[in-house]
Amino acid sequence: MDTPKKNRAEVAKTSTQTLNDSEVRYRRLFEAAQDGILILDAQTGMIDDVNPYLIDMLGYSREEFVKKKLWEVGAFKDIDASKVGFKVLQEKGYIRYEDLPLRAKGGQLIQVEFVSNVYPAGDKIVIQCNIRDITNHRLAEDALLMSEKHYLGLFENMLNGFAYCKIILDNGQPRDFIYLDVNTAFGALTGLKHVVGKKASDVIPGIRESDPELIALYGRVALTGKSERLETYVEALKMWFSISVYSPQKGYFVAVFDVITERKRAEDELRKAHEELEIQVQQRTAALSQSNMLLQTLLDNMPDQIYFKDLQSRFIKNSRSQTNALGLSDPSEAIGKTDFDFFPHASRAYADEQEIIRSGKPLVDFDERAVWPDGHETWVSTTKVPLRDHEGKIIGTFGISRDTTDRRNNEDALRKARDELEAFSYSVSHDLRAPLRGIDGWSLALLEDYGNLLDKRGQEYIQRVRSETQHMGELIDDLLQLSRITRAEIHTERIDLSAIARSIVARLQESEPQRQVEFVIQNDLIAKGDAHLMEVVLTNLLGNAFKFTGKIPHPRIDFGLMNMENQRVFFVRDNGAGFDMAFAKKLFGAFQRMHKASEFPGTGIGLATVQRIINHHGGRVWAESAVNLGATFFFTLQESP
Amino acid sequence: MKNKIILLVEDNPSDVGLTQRALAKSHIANEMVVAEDGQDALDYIFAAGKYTGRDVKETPAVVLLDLNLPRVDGLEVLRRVRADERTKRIPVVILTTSKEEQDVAQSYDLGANSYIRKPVDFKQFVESVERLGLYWLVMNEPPPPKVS
Repeated sequence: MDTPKKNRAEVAKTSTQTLNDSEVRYRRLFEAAQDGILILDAQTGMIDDVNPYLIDMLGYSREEFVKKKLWEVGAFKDIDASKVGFKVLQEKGYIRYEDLPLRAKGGQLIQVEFVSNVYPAGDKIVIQCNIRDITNHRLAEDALLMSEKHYLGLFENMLNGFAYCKIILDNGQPRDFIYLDVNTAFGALTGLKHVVGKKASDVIPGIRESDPELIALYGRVALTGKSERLETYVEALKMWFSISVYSPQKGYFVAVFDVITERKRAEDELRKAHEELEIQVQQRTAALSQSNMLLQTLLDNMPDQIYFKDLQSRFIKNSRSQTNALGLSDPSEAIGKTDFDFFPHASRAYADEQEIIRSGKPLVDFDERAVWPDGHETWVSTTKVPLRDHEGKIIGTFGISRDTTDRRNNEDALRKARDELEAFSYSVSHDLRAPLRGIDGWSLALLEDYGNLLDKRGQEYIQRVRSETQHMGELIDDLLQLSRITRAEIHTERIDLSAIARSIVARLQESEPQRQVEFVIQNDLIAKGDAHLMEVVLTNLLGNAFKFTGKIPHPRIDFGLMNMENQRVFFVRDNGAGFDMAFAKKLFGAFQRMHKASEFPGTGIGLATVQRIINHHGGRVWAESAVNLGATFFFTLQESP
Repeated sequence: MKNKIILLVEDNPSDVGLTQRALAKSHIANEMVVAEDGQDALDYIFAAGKYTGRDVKETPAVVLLDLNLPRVDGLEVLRRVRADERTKRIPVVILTTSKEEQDVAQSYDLGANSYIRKPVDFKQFVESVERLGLYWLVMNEPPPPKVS
């Protein structure tokens, strides 16, 4: 509109118009405000106006507000306080309550922020009260407070340690940290006291040197804000920790932790136990494999046949020697088979094994004849024993058989040879002597019947024929005795050697009654031996002594016992011809003679016989002598058979 | 008293001759019958073979029996003689070269009256035979004739 010229009326009109416009705007603000607004007459305290928000907030109608005094509405709980407040407002023109409880018409309390201003409006002084509902705001604050309490409780009561710390940097690198807050569990778990406000390096001396990684970790979290979790051993504390670290703000970190030293120790022990077990298992396995190897070596190389059988006499394991003999190429081929698959005489072995399983008694070293799949036959010496598990329960049999065919053949040959020798000896004894008897007999007949036809020399010749014949007879007898001793079984008994010696001495003296020989025989020489064979021994030794003392003036022969190196040693000593010790080695050989036949006759078999008998008795015989100084023969006997 | 015969069972002629000589030297004049093996001896004793018809009751005064004989050996002869009721009381002297213990033992077990080993020395043999003859033919009362 074009208003170059404006009159006063127009101006007035415009002014009124402007005022009206402001009034409308204000009114709209009043109506739409999201706080409660009251307009009071400052003089009277009467409510002039109330906006819809407050009506809605307190639940009273507009009519219940308007033209009433503020404290008459009933919303203001404390009427006196309200009156005092109104007075203050009147005087100061401003009052503010941050937290004022109002009662709504429905009875509920509403917390409000209450701000009042006094200002003139036209010709009137008015009070404008702005009332903001802060109930929800308060509740949120309360909740926060409660929550803080909760968290504080949690903080103090939680089992985990909690430390709120500030990292200390040195040239940008984390070097240390300061404890800003810790909970009760912190002290309980770490044993550290009064740490708040202190540096870690003061609380735990040496931590920077011993645990740089831990400080580096805290620094990393505090600087990057990235949380980390880990399990670590803190050397300075000699403890294992499970730690969760986060940073509430840059440069700070919180460590929530638990001490897991015990758990770690338990884990450690468990691990060690596992490792030890593993080692033991390895050792056992190695030992087992070694004994398996040893067993296998035995089974592969033992010439004896070895076999393990189950309760049904089925092969479990066999030596290679056996499976070779069974005609198999590998021991594994025998497994599960039985003797019935190979031997015609299997039922005998089967019966033996079942009896062993039943009785638990082994069969040791019994001889059996085996017929092999290829037809050859052997003798085997077999031992079979029950096979037991670790609880002693019989689970089969174990056997070992040795081929004794060669031994048996040798034994058979030996037995045959001995039988032949016996027959030969018998024959010698019987047949060789008969012609000698003839030679002697007819020589004597010649001498007796025709002696008168011969001169003295002729008669001497015939005598020589007879003495040679008789000598040969003695030789045959001695040889027979020697061979008989080899075959003889010894019947050991308690014998009186003194008595045996005395009867021999009596016979010797009787044979040459003209000789005067001093015999000294110790009494009660008791020994263990074969009476007959020991008589042969003493007959030879005493007979020799008797013979070899034949040419000295005062012959003496001793038979006694002495102790040599704790052994009982018998001796026969004479003071006769003796012999040269240089030939002592030949002394006990058959047909070995120390003297000329013209000096001392003999067959040379006597001492060989003596030695054989003494050896048969488990004893020893030896001699000491010197030419013309006599001889001593010593012998021992095995005292405990 | 009629001298009864002596039965010598011996296969070695030399021994037969020497035994006869020994008996003669001992003045034993009994007739001697020689059997050269065990079978001959049994034939004589039991009147068989070439002795068929001989009276079995005419038993020898003594049988001098060698052991090692052809055909039937001495121990078998002894066994058969002892097994027969008619002959079991005939004195039997084993006169042999063997002195094997088993022979001696078996002979006595089978009922030999004596066992003499023939020595090589003839003088000793004569002495043995003398003692034998004296004992069995002079000193010893012969068993009563069997009453038939």
